[in-house]
Amino acid sequence: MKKHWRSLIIILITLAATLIVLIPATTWMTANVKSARVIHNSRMEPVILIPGSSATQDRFNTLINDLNKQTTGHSLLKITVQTNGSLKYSGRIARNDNEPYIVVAFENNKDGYPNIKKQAAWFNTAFTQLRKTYRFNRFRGIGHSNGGLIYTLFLEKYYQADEVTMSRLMTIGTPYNLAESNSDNRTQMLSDMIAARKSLPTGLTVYSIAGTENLDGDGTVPIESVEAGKYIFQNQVKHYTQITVSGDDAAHSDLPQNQQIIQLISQYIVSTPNQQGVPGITRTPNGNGVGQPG
Amino acid sequence: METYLQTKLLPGIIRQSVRIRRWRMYRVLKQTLAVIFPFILLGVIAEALNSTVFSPRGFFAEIYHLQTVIPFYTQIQHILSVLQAVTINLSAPAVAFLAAKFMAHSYHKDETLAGLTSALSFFTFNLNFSPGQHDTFLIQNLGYRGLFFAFWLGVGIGWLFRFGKISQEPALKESSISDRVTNSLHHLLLINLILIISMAISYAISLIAADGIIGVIYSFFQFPGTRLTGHVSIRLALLTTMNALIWWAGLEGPLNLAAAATQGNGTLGADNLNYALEHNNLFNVPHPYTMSTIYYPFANFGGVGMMMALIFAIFIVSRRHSMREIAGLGLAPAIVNNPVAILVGLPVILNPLLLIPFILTPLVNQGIAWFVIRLHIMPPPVYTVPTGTPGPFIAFLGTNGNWVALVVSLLCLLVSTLIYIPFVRLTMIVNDEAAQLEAQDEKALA
Repeated sequence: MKKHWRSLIIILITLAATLIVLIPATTWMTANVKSARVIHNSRMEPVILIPGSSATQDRFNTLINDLNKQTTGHSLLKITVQTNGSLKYSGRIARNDNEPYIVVAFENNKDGYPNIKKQAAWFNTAFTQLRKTYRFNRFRGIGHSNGGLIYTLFLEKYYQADEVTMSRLMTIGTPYNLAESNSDNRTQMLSDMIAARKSLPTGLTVYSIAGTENLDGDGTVPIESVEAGKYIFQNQVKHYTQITVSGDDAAHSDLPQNQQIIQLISQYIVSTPNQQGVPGITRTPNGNGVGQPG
Repeated sequence: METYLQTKLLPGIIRQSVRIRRWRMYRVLKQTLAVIFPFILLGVIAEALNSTVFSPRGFFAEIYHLQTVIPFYTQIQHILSVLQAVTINLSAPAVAFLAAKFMAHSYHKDETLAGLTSALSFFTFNLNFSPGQHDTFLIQNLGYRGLFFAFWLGVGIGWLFRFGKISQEPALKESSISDRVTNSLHHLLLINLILIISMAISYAISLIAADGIIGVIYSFFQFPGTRLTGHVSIRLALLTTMNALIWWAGLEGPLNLAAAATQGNGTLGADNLNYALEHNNLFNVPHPYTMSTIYYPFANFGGVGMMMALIFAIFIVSRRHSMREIAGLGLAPAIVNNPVAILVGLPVILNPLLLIPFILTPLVNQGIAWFVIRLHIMPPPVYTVPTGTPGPFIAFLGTNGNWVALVVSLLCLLVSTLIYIPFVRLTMIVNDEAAQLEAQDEKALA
């Protein structure tokens, strides 16, 4: 009888010990597998493009057509954020495409600092939604003209480094000091951006491209205004490079079609220009993968 | 059949085993392991704690988030590493000393000098001749890895002392200091000869192998597991059998703790993991039968040879206090798949009786697992589990909570225990008879 009691107690202790170990182990494992799955399925690193003022979501069609002509190409998703914050989609991201292009444009695409601030907030709305849908945790960005300002404001105000990593940003003809050609006369926007520069991600590499049609700038944005970007980025982000492009197509609105800038984009921003196994996009010179204008 | 088993085979096995027990070398082995056991046990427990509790990827550390719970986490980890370094990682020179000591003792020769010479010779064999390196010794060879060589070196040097002039008895009994000096001087030639020869061999080997003589021994066991052709199950069976044999011989087999910690990191494991993460279905992974889906989750409970099953078998059938005590001491490290304590303590090393279940149980378990996976009753465990996950839980966790996997694991444990039970019984009988004979011998001497 005594013997039986001992065996029973040993069995009970073993069972209890097993449960004490097995329950947290199972919980841990389930959580671990779940997060591993999320990380595994988020190898996507999209290139998110923001057009400048007065431009629609089709602003980059020519650019992406040209990029896709040189390579096997990537798919393109276009989003227009409505003034009420809702999103209008057109185009789609191809299955298995790890580096799709996503254009985020705004229904209200007017110029002006108050409006740019609104657009940054709208961009954040779209970005949050995109992250939820596609679960990427890295991305790269291109901003044309005011698009670069929207990116800067977004990075300073909304970007959360522990959730997502922006590794590279290219701003093209971005007027960091608006239309001001004297860098001593800092606009309110530039002062605000400089004041908040410490929130910029330290791992980011920034390329600022200036177009010069004449000696003053690209005809719309003064070169000094583009160069004012150094007051924001230099000594805060990892690398800040300014590149000046001149010659054909160096006028402000031609910059996204400028062959040299396209070269720079495919060199610095697109990391896998020839990704294998992206269906539906082959080396066709007609810009396959670019969604129909919508 | 049964009568043959009972009348011929079993008494034959017992007689043979008792005879082996009485071999000089086997007795030296048991004596050596008995002395070294407490140190090995301490090192093994430090190692087990370090790998499961005090390393961030360890099992208990992961599931209880111990890194944030335990104060002075890294400090304790450091102390445990040092403890491991001075016990198990320095056990080989101690074994060289003890083996020579007991060997010389059995010839009634000067045992202390023999042991000392042997230990120094062992160090000589592990001198680091590579230029530009600061370590004087090949430190990796001084631990469990070097045990096999250390033992046989000790046995050899102990045997050489048989030809030493003076036996220990008179010199030690009248132990004046000058007597002892004289005694040592008598062995001067022998000691120097051994050390010079050791040095010469060691240097010659350093010219061809950077890892010393122990590295040369291990290079024989570089089993070409991946280059083998034939069906995958045969490859796995061959590799695991080879591994068990190497461990049994007192060497560190290829499927050791470090290999277990990185299981699933190979290309096959990565393929499986990618598939599982993409499809959320483990049944159709590209490589269902690999070391990390068949061997580690089902045939490595308590480490090589299902040591956990051996421990349970001892608890169930053995009534001998010492045996149960060793099994109890070995249980804690065996839970986290560290087999060394029970291998040395019982010992399993070079124990002919336990060789059969030691090789058989992993094969049977892998067979069961292969069969169940083949019939699609259970998915292969492909998710990597933390270091030191208790054997029976590996499959359950590695399938992300498949209950069939847990049941199959427990079945494997049960079957293995049943395989071990008769051999534990035999061991007990042989132990008793050998002990009786030893007692008779001592009476005869006295």
